[in-house]
Amino acid sequence: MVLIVDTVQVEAEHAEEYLELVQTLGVPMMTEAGAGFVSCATGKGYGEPIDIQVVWSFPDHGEWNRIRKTLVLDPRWHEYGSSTASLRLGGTSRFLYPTPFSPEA
Amino acid sequence: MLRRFEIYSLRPGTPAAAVARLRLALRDCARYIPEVLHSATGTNIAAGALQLAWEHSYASPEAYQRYMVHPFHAGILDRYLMAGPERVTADNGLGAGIGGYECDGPVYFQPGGVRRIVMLDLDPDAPAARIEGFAEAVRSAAAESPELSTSVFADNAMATRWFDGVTPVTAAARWSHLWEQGFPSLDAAEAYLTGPGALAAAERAAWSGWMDGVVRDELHVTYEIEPGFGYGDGSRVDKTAGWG
Repeated sequence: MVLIVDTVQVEAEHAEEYLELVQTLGVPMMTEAGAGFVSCATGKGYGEPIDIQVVWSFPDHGEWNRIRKTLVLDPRWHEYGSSTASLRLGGTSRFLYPTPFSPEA
Repeated sequence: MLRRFEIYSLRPGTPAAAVARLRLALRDCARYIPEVLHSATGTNIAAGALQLAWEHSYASPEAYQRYMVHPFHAGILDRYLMAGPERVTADNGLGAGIGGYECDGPVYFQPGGVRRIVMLDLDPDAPAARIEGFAEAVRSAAAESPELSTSVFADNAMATRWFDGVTPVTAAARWSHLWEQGFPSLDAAEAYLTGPGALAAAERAAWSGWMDGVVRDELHVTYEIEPGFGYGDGSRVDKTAGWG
């Protein structure tokens, strides 16, 4: 299994809108393309930007290549990209591989 | 072989360090994905919105397919190229993002000097003989213009076959054909473009009326070739004889 861990920072006033985009656009688009939706979690902020982390999964990079093709050809993916970009302050997107002792391995 | 180009606009305001990381990742691609051949980058000096070019190639569609599923492609290249927090590139609507062609060998080989990629929208209703006439004119240009060290004219097949190098997955390409040119130097490129050659003259005239209007539109980039890992070191499918 491979995980994509998207971690972004948004201003507190944009957190709800960002999460709505993930739930209503990102999740159906990614899962219809074949990715697994693992989790979505947020930090508390306490006056700082809010951390939002969304984790997706797929079996291997061959499968990801097929998912990627589906996404590139899906107009929703471009809309999702531009909409989320307009709300976030920054962040990272990383492909991670569970360690042998991880429950996901 | 499959010859391939990716040509980008850069997102305004992107930190220079991020662009430098993308350039290094592109030039270093062959270090991590051995199927990537003759990888080089360049900064477009021609007018327009296109800024960064990446040229590279593959020995076969199978080699290209291994590149497509390699973790370096997904984890590093796409980090800077695809929609995401660290994207460096920007949409531009020019249809130049991916292009390329099939060839029998590394006819494009040039680990230095200047590259010029001329993207052509040729009339799809033009008779095949007229397209072949254009190809013949390109061959003549290469023979008659000593400044042209590389000249390859081909269908822009990779624009629609980017998934596996074989199967079209999108509609017809914005640019139907490519003319890949190489020059030993910027002076040589300038000498060709301002010289007496018939195609250079046609290009200066924006292809107006050339071969009954077969060229409907054109876009080009020019850059000094910045060779990446392994380019020209003799360990790969190189055609070094005659260069330089």
